[in-house]
Amino acid sequence: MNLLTLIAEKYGFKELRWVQTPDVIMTHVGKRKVSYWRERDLLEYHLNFRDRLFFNSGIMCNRMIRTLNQEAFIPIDSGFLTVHDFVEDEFAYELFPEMVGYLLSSLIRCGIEQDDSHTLSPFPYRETVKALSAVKTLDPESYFLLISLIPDVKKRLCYHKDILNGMIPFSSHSLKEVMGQLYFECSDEAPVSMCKVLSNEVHLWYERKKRSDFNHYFNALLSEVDRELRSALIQTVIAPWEWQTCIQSLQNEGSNVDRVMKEFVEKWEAMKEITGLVGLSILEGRVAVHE
Amino acid sequence: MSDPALLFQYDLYPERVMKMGKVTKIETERGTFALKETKLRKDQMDRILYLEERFKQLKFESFVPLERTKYGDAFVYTGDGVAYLTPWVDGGEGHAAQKEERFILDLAELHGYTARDQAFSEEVIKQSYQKMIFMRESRQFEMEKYVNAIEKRIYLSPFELTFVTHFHQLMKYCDLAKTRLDHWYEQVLEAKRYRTVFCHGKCSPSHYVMNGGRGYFINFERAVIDTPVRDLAYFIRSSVHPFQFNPATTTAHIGRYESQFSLLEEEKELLASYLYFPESVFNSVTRFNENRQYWPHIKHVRLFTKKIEVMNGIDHVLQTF
Repeated sequence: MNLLTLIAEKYGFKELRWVQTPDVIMTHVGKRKVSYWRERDLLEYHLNFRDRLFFNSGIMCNRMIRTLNQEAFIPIDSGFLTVHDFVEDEFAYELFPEMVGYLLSSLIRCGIEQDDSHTLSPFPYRETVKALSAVKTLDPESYFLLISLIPDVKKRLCYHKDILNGMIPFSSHSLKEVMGQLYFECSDEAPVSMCKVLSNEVHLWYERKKRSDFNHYFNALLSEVDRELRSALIQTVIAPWEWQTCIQSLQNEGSNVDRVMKEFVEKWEAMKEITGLVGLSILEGRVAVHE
Repeated sequence: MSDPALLFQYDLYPERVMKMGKVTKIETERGTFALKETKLRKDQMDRILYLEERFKQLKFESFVPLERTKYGDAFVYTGDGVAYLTPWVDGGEGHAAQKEERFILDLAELHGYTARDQAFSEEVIKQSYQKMIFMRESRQFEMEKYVNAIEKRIYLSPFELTFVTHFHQLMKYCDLAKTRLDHWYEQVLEAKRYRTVFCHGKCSPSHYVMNGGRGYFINFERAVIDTPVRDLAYFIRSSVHPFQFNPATTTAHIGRYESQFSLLEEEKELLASYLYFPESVFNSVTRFNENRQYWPHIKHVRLFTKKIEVMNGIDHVLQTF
């Protein structure tokens, strides 16, 4: 059966035509996006995550539109097909910087709820130190620098025993707007690690935004979480990811040592600034966000 | 969540929006809908969905179904509550009396469809009995305290004087309510049976609309599984208009209900007990003391005396019941 006919029959859409084959269709209720899935597990992960995100936080996202029989997806020859809203308006996040922090915090809470068993674990400190010894022969100068930073690394790991280690669908996404409200357009890709997302996002916020916006983000990120999660979130943000990444990169043969070290130093210095910005007193285990 | 974002979930683009009491009437190209924003617990939402499913299975059509969002949700969270959407049913059709006649028949049908004999438990019955006694005694005690307080005064206001004058009569009704409740308790224990139905929970004429010659129940938010007497007593109380009360109408309502769904002897005792208890008169005292509506004193007095007349009329109905 022709795909359009199948969609029309299952979803009850009228006046159906392709706007952009095979991703966007026009229906009697407006444009719709069509997604194709090969793996059922991934489809079900996204189905549950998106429904849960909306129910728990009220954040609108590209949930699966149901068929006339209330099914979230339909089987096709090559896998499964789902239909979603097609939203064009971009979210003006410059006007509402706190919304991105709130979104990230909501995604993390949702990710923890979906996979409660594997979301908290200690930072892989011992493994990273072990890997560092291999750098000694490859690049002694970098090795001594990285070794000398261990006391600071330890300080950055003493805030809380665990970091967040769950997964969230936060890659290739976009932030849209529907009727003045944030609409999170999640990609159909596999979920990514929360700690990578947090570390990258915080650096991005820092690089792109002015101090007040950064504080808005950070406040929103921490505002709606309980004490335990708040501590794990802060620990994840301040953990020495750039130190770990640098050691991993130096182990790869053929890596450009100068470039790797330059990036590392920049990020390390940025992290110092970030902790200063959010009033983070690592040694005393206190965090205060400046208004 | 604002209304436009809420309606986006239904793919509705309103042409006209009107606030009508607690409901918003929304006219769109795809039809007219009623949007209700309310506060519901998870178990209440689940119960409404269960009821809907059950009504469909039973082919009971006197209810207005919930519209699903495009994502298949029956309820949409709005931040501080939930919202749900139903097709709009114009309720202006039919005379009030005709509507009540149809209402009581549909209520009997609803109860008949869903009646279920429960496993008899003396403990459960005893708890219900004791709880009811306790609640009524507390209410009576409040009224006794009130009458003791006002009797100490030298000059009583017209309302207070009317209340004091009728107080013993009200206590007599409380005793009758207790006697009929005792009868119910003894009969249930003897018969060792107890049945439940789906109760609408707020069975007043404002939650029933007539359209196209048919009647529809709306707002199942307070639906519970309980004795049919709960709904029937609520309906009788809410359909009584103190200034136009006719005991024959109440007798006719009960007769009409029983033509579709006969009450058991012990249920009749329970109904009599509910109706004898002068809760509505007691509420007039609370209303007078709070006077949130800023009514003139004389209005409170008139309503109170009319309610006493209603109680006398109900007493007349119940003597033959």
